[in-house]
Amino acid sequence: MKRRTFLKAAAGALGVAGWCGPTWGAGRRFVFWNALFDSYIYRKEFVPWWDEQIRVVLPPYIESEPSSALPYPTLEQRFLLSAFSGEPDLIEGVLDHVANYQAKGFIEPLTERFQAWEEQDQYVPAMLDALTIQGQLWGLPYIGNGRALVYRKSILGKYGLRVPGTWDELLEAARTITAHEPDVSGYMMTTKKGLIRGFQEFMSHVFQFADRVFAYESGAWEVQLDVEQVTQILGLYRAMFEGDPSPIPKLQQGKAALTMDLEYSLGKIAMMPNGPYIFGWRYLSDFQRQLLETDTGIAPLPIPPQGHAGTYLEVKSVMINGFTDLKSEAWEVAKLWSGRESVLRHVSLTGDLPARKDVFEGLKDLVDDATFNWQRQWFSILDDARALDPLPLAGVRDATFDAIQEAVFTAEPVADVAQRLHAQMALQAQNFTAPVA
Amino acid sequence: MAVKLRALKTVRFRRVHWKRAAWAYVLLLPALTWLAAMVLVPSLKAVLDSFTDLSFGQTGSPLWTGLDNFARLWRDPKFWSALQHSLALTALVVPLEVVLGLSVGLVLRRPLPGIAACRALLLVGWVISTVSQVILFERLFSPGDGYVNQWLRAMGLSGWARNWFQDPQFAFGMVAGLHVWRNAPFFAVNLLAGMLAIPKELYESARLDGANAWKLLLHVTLPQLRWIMLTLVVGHVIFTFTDYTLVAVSTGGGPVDVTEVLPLYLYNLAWGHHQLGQASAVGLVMFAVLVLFTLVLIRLQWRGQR
Amino acid sequence: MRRALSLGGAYLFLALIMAALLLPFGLSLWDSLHQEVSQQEQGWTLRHYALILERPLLLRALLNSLLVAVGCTALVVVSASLGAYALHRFAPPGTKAVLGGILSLKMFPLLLTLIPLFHLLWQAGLHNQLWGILLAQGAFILPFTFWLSWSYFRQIPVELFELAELEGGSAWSVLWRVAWPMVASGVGLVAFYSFVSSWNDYLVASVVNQSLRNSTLPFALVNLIGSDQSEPRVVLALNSLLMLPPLLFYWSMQRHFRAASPTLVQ
Repeated sequence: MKRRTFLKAAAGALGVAGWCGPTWGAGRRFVFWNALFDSYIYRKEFVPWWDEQIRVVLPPYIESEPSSALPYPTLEQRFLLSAFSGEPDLIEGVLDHVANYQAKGFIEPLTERFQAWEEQDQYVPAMLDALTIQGQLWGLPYIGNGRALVYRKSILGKYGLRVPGTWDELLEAARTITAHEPDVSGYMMTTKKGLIRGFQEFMSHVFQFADRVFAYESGAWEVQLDVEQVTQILGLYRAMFEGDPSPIPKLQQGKAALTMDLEYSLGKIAMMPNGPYIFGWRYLSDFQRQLLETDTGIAPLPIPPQGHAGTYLEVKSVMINGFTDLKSEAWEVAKLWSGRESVLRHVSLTGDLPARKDVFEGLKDLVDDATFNWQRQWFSILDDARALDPLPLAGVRDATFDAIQEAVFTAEPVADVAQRLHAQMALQAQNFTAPVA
Repeated sequence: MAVKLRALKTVRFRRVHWKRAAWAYVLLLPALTWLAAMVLVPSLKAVLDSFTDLSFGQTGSPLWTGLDNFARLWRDPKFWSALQHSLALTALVVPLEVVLGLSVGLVLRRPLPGIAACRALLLVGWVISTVSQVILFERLFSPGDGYVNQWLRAMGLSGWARNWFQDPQFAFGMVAGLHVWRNAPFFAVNLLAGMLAIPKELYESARLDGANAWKLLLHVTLPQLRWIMLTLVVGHVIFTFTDYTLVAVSTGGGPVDVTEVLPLYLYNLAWGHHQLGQASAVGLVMFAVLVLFTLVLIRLQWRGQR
Repeated sequence: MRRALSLGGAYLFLALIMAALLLPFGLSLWDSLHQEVSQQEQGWTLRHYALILERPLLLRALLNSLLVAVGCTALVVVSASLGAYALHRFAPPGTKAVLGGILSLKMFPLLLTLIPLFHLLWQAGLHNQLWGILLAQGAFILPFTFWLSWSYFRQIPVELFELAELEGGSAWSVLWRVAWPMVASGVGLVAFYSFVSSWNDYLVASVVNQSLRNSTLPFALVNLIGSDQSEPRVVLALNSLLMLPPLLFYWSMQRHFRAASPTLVQ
């Protein structure tokens, strides 16, 4: 390498980097992090509208950062690292995140601003409750969902199967389908370690035995399930992979949630626990559109022998970073994100349910038929949906992943695994702080 | 010229000794300040943190907790199993890389047709990022439509088809395979370069003494490669022991924690449980293990040379 | 006869090795250019690549990666060369300490140093900047490249430098006129290593920079995997793009490899 060429190249590189450095980071920008903007349909249908609207809402001297997104786990990690620097100003997240951020004091309570807002009565009380910790509101909800059994009508019909209402019926139906269909799995669950959806699926079953996971009684946090009930839940996981053929093909152990969603939309799975957001996959091809719009049915999750209807409630909201100096601007943007126009678009693009009554009630006239039919099936699911407690659940999460892995991959007696999980949950509960009266 | 050199050594050397040292330090300045500021200082801070209860988003300064974090590690069975997995992985992977790298290097030493192309292509696996590598392999080994399973089924061996990365029996082997695929060629390239530099006379004189191919390898080739081998082994022990991305992106530590290695355990402590102090303690342990290993290896080498 | 067998064996072994190395690339490239089978449309398509070009963030990430890699390489090569030259040429007191210290820096897990580093960069106003990523990456690439540079310089006897100095010229001009051309091949390799390490880096860039507009390509790729509604083949297509620059650089460096390989040894 000639010296001259090298020098020129080095100078050029440093020059460009030097120029780009200030340019790339200059000015005061409004930064909003969310997990939605990266999907194909959002970029096509929502982002252009949003970029226009946000310019109206923000003062002229503040630019909005070009719209981009991150998946939820990454969002959470980065926020934890970056919040204290004041960036992002506004962040979108699921219930889990709200509890986490609030416990660390990273987000701003919204109670006062919310109560001063004339649209406050539009919001679904159940969702607001889920976002209320220690008497304060911490996130402004915009959509939510409950988990239900999503199934292929044509496949169930082909084998003359009724929609399963109990766990035993589910196992049998899944087994039949897997046995007779070479490329289709009768049922599917998320069993890969560390994926939040796997934890949420587990919790859906927990809510079939109790309304809350933990409750504060006589001075201490107690686990609301007994060991027997935990054994039953883990028993379901174990049963799913037992037998020949097993209801879920053994090859599918360690399944990741997103792969699950994609494969269902491609026709490789007959039944699975899922939320309305699977509807978003219909935009990728005609085949998927057809499958999701006309051949997919919804039913409440099958119930265990001594359990009742119940499922996991998810509420998505936006939160204001406690360290930013653009709090009022952030509130304006939050109201825009969660406003009627915006929620309408969220609903038709994701398939999730609106957090606002004015969208809920007038839905038929506001969205296309396919979306309305889809939404209509999910309304009743919300009635039995329960939210997780806003507690630091990282330890419970880890213990749950371990238990699921042991139930699925090993031959250890399920009762023993359940015993350990229950003990871990009780241990974790000892560290929770007492609630404010 | 020889006269000039001798003159140099006697007259000028001592007088300007300090001036040279000063010059040296000036030239070293960019590198050293860079390293000091961005690696040494944060590392020291992390070491200090391992003696506190620092966690994410803590209000106020962290408390000094002395050896508490280490005691907690001592009592945690998961820490020990992660340590065990890390050691096992390194002990499995590095010798394989040595043997495979050496074999490939030996084969490529011959001036045969097509060898040059092979030499040129060897590092393709090494130059791509670990993330890219995992993506390539996941495509090959995915349970449903991965190529490996498809071929097995086509050959009538569908009983052998599995979810390779998520199978408790195979996941560990898969992760080891990822490491070896990536790094054995690197060993090969460097060992080959070393072999090419060995003077032919050494081989000739050994052959005259009646040595066969195996003896040549043991008594001529390997001793000459001593230092490169040492550098490569130390470097790769460090890489395998501290690698996070390859394991995390491929198996996530599962299933049932069979591939849970120390870097993942650390990551989970820091990002999952937000216990930075505890995580730093794990880091310090990892550092100690590596330093110990390197010192022992170097000691063995010195003794071997005498 | 034995010769033929050993030759055949060697070729077979080599064929297996090369197949194991190259198959993953070939298959993945093939997939990225073909439609997903269940879509009921098969055959060649550029759709997966087109979907990438639609995303401004990915193109931005590509540019960021390029800028950071080039800038980082320049700085690393300069620092490592100057330092290695100094150590070899002048052998100042503390040489062993410097070399040993730099080696031991590599042994501390990257993950841990990154968080305090982020805080440090924030205080310097460099967090979320391309400059910050550049400097952080370079700091972690420097130890190995320093050692590598030192091993190249070591091949030149010190006396040569002193002679050149005697014949007129300062230590500085000696560095340029004498030392540099001799280690050019080696420096090329150091540059190659730095570029590839910086380009492929995921951890440092993702922790040191939290802003999305300055993210680099590996980070964008990992997020693509984890995001909703991303097709596996689009991931493969992006992966192919990510692998391209290091492979191209590697191919163009073949000359240098052949020339410099004996020097890698010392």
